[in-house]
Amino acid sequence: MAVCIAVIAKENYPLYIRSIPAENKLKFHYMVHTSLDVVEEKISTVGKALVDQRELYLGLLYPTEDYKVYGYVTNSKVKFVIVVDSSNTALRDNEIRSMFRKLHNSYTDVMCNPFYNPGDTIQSKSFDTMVSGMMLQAC
Amino acid sequence: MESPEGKPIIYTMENKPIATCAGDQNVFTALYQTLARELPREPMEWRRSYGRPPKMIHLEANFVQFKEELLPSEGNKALLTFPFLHIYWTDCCDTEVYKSSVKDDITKWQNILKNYNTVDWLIVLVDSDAKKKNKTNILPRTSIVDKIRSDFCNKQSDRCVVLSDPLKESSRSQESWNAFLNKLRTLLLMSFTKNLGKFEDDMRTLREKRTEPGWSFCEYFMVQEELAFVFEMLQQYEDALVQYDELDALFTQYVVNFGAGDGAKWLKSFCQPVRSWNGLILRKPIDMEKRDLIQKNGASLLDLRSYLFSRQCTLLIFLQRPWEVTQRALELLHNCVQELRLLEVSVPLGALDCWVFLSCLEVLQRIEGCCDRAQLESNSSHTVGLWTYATEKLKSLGYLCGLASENGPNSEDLNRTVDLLAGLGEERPETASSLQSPYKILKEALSSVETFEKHYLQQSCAAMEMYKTIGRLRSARLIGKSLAEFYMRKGDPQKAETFLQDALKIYLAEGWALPVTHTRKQLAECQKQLGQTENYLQTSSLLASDVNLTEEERKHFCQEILNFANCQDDNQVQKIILGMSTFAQLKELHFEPSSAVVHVGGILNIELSLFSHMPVAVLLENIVASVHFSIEKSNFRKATEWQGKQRKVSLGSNGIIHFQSDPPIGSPCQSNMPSLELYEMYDKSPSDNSLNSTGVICKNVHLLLRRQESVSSIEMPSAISVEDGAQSLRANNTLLQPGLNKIVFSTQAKDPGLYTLRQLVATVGRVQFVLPHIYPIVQYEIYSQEPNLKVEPLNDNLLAGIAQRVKFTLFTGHYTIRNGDALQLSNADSLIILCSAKYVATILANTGEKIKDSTLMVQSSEKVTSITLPLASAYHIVEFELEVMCHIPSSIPKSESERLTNGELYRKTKERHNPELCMVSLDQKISIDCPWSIYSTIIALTFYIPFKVKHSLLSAGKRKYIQVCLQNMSDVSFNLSDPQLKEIMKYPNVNLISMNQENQQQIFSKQNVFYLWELKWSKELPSCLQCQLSVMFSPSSDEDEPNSLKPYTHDFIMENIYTLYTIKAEIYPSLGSEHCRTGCLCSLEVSIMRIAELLETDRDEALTESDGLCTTKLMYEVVDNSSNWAVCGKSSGVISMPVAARAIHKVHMEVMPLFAGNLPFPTVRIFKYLPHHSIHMAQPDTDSLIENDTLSIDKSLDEQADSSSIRSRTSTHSASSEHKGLPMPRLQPFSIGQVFNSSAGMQVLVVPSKDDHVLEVNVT
Amino acid sequence: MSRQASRASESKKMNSELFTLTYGALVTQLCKDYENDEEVNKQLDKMGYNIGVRLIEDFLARSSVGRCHDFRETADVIAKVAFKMYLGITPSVTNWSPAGDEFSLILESNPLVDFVELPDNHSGLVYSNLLCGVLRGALEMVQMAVDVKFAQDTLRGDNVTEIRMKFIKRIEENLPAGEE
Repeated sequence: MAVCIAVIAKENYPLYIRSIPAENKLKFHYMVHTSLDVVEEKISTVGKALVDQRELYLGLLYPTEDYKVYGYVTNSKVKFVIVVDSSNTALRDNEIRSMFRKLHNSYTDVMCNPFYNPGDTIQSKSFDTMVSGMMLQAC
Repeated sequence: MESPEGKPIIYTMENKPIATCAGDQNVFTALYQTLARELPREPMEWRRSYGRPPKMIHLEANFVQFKEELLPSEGNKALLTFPFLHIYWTDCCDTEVYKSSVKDDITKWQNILKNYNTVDWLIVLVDSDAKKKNKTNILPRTSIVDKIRSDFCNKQSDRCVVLSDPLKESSRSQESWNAFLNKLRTLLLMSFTKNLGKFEDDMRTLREKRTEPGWSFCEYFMVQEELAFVFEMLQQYEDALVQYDELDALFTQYVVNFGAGDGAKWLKSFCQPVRSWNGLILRKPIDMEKRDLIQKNGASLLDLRSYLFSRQCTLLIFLQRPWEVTQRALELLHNCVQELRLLEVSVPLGALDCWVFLSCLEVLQRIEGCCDRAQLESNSSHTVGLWTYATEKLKSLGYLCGLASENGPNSEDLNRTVDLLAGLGEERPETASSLQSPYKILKEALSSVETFEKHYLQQSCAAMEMYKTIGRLRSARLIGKSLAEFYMRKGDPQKAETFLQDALKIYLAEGWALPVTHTRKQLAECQKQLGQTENYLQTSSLLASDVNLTEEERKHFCQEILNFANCQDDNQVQKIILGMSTFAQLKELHFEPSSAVVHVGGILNIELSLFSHMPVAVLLENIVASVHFSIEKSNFRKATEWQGKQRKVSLGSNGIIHFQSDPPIGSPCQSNMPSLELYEMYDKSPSDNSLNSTGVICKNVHLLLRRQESVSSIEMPSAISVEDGAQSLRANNTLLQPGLNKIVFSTQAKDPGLYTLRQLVATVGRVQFVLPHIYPIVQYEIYSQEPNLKVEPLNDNLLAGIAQRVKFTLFTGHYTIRNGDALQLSNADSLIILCSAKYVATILANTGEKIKDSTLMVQSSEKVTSITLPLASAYHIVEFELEVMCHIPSSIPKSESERLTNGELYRKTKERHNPELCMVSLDQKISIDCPWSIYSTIIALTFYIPFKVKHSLLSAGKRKYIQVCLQNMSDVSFNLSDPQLKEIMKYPNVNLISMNQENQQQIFSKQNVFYLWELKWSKELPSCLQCQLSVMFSPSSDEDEPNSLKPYTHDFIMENIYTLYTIKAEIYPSLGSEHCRTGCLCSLEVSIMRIAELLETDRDEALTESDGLCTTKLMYEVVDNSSNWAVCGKSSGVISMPVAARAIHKVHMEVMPLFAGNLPFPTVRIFKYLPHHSIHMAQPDTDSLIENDTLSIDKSLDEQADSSSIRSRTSTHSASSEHKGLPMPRLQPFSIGQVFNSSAGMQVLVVPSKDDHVLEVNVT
Repeated sequence: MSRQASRASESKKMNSELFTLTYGALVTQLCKDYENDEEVNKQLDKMGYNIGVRLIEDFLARSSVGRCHDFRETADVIAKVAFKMYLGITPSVTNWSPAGDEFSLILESNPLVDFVELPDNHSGLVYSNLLCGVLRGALEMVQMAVDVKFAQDTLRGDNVTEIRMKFIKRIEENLPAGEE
């Protein structure tokens, strides 16, 4: 369902970014990078409002003709971005939320891997499989 | 008041709910104005069904004359035309009239209403006094009302209201008006509630039917829209909007389902190919033509959407929510595009783009229309999306129609353009007026290349500006990039470059590898076209090393560089300088020797490990490391300090320096921010080590400074420059393979000092890759060293008298030992260098590894010993050992003075250092003339004498013996042979007879050997004898040549050897008993005999008597320390001996043995008694002593008391003498050997006094 | 007795993530300090041993298990009591050698390795080797010389973790224990 899933470090460089199909990888890189604009916007505005209640899900960052870009930011300011194809309109908001939640958990596990040093790009196989699961997952 | 005939124009702003008026039209007309004015004044609470919240609404009504046609027939869904209330007006006040006409009229009216079963009616009775006046028969007003009520309003009397004197200004009329209006309003509302409720129910039922085959969305649409209209009519825009949203959602759902597979039949109508794509129209509140299309099932999807959205837009604007419009607009547009895809509607190429473009602009303009600048500015975050979308679309259109290409559109493009424009149809009247209407813009944009560019730029810039203002830089950059692409297409790289640079910056800053690579590629192209060779090459080198590119691409860019590098055009001699970091990376640097310290003329190798990022092998013409040279303060150190010394740079133990690799592109810039590396710096004055100045140095300034402009500089490396250091290391024609390469710089050290590597420059044809700073700081040091000689003993103590090995170490320094160079040692007679053939010199390199051995020539003349040195080049070490021997001087004079000659030198024979073996040390100084200096080196060696000698004189009566004890102080053991004792003065009549048995002896470390000689003489013996012991010795270690015996001599002097007196003591038991017994007195007889005539030796104490016979005074003393004896009577006394041979003086005294057994004799001692030279003083003294003697005999005191008495006496005497201030007589001991005690060590048997014990034994 | 009671009663809870991370930190630090995995494995085993020789006391105190009569019983105690007590898991005891002196502990879940993914450059590393040391050390304190090693490891892609334990000999009281 997701066509691109990205994890972006606090400093806004990509920790992990994967997209299908592989060929227009570049496009997604641009897209995700641009989406950071909105993420930051939301953090700065929403951040103040929702500082107490832990709403990490930022919702739809921006739609394009073909894709919808959703955002999620951890309290450690690590950002998750999920791009889905606009064509599958059936996708509900809470499904996206759950995807993000899964992503977040999996990311936490990666962080807990003693051999992973924070800040490095993520190579974890388990994370990879989880992500590809999300991408293939039919709906 | 409008004519009810003809279909009502549906223009919702004008719409009011319809109320019909029957009865007396004049009455109504009279009141109409007031009514119309008054009705909406008061708001009314509207309680609504389905738990919707109540609302206050201002009611209006559209009063039309009652006609039967107005009443809706069954199944007519029209709501707008629906009369909600029917009013009958009359002012009849006359019963007759009422009965005759009015009643029937009302009945008729009522019946009609009944037929259409409408129950919303009201009868208004207007009564005015004016009318009454000209009436003759006046009835009570009430009667008519009552009649009407009774006739029609059965059980709902409120359906008839009285409006009294409506045209008068009276409180009464006011009241009645209010009552009437309230009634009116209530009834209207009731009607609304009822009818709307009913309508909604119908609508719902209709919606439920949507699964049924015949169901048509369009019909339903119309129905629900009707409701929407009504709500709108009642200014309930919220509710109205809800209706449309529901429709929207419903439709969307259908489309989705269609996508999911189950397509409703009616959808087909929307799947018809798109023929017109004139975008949204939002100017008028309702677009009738589209509505008709929908009504006639003739609407395309775009039509429906457009219409729907236009309605939503209108309502939203009524609701003062323009931003929602923009938001919804974007969604809508995206949505439509998706839906068209989903429904597989065939759309001409570009049509959709047109539609979207137009729509975007339409929305934007509409919004601008309804809110002021400031608002727009502040809310651009909402509109910017549309702007960009429009821009994209315009761009794609431009590309489609060949308007973005260098050489304009071709015919095909033009045709396409024409078709697209055709699809737009005619411009609509409402926009015709405005010059900037989307329609016009699009037409213009597509008309020509220039206009397109103009508009496209406007759009893009507008969008970028907005993004910048709301701080969405990334988005802005992205637009910039697409703009750049556009420019590149148009062949205008100049404009493109800046955009690309900006974009690149942000990607680099945030470490997005792929975008960086991609943008770089574009930039490279751009720079190439611009002919910015340097930048182009720099970028190429970056790309060539970029792992995100394919092998081919990398090769291509690498080739680009090489091509440029190798193309020979002479007009451009100036080399291109590029940063090295992208080309290759310095991994590590390995010094050989690892200490990075080399002596002048030495060879220094530096091996670079260079990691080439290039995909292909590159041939470097040369690679040069420029070196900075500085004379180091602490340059002139002692050569020895250099041995295996490390430079203080961050050298690994093995002389390897590692360079941390720059983080690859794609990692955050934060992470490669280097931390400050501060070091303390102390500047000490070279003379005294006092601190001149101190400070803190930042060692990695260049890194920190480079940070600021790092992002930009990566693309613009012009900052880098080659500093041409005077000194440099170079390696020529090295082929740099991809990956790790090893390059060796080899240099011969010239000037001493500190060398710092500054830059690394690799030259490929006309291209130079420069590593501007080498960090961490790499330094090597070249030193020059003075030749210098060191001499040290092999074992810690050199022993005199035997051959000792001494080690010579010679650091050649800058001096090269030439043929025939020799060390000249000026000999000292006490110190010999033993010449032998077996000397071997070892030659070592400065680093310490052995090079070769060579035999050493040592020749000795009587003056000098010369050691011819083996040939050794500079900065080598020559080591050899020599055997030296220091003679032991036969005796050690007490000369304090140290003669600083080259000869031997004595230190006074005091036991100095290491007291545990207190060997006599003597220092030797050798002066050596070295070939490299005119001054002679003086070297001090300390030798130790291994032996020590003690002598003693032994006598037996007159016979004399000399005992000599030889101590071996050293740690080695020696063989001693033929010891000899000589009398130096060579007195004829004296000779020494050795009594030593064996001639050969071994003496181990710390052992003693005793020798004995008898001294024989005839005639007079000299008062003093000078003897010399001489013994041959050789260290017992070297068995190989036992005959290497060295002499050891020791001189000593003996005086007063000759025996003057013999003392003989005898003890006799008391008379009658043959044994001494304990407790009973025995007599002790001490006889002192003078052996010789008067000699010089005792001349001094000889006294001359008057009669010429001279005597000496002696004092004797009997002591028994072991207290075996009690000496009774006087134990000491002074006697005068006649100075004559054989003169004997006997002393008797009583002693008592205290124990039984063999008791040793009490000791008898004699002293010279030297009175002060006054005889009369001395005389009585002795007399008294003598007579005292006698006294003490008869008076038998016990020994204790006696001795005490003596002491007391002597003490008193001495006291008195002192007291008189008179000088005391002196006692002087004889020197050993002058007195011989013959009874020394004799014993006498003492038996117990009684045999009680024995008796007892007998008894038992 | 009272001590045992007190011991047995208190069952302290500890956050498992913290525990796992602590162990992880330990191992990774070792990996930094020693160049090759073999060395790291050795160190882990050493540490484990030193834990074991102490832990056994605590274990005996808490779980008042008596003397084991045979190796099988030991195996059961280790699996059912010890592992349960300290790691909260009960591995299954299987693959007895015919001689009955060798068996396997099968851990279907190993709390030490949650989150852990071995990087490729640590193929030689036996991540949980500490456990071997612990077992060895503990048993040594009760006069049992055993050889413990990992036969399978989920980290290495095996679908279970298997610790192979081999009985070597009884240690006589007098001779000193252990090589460390």
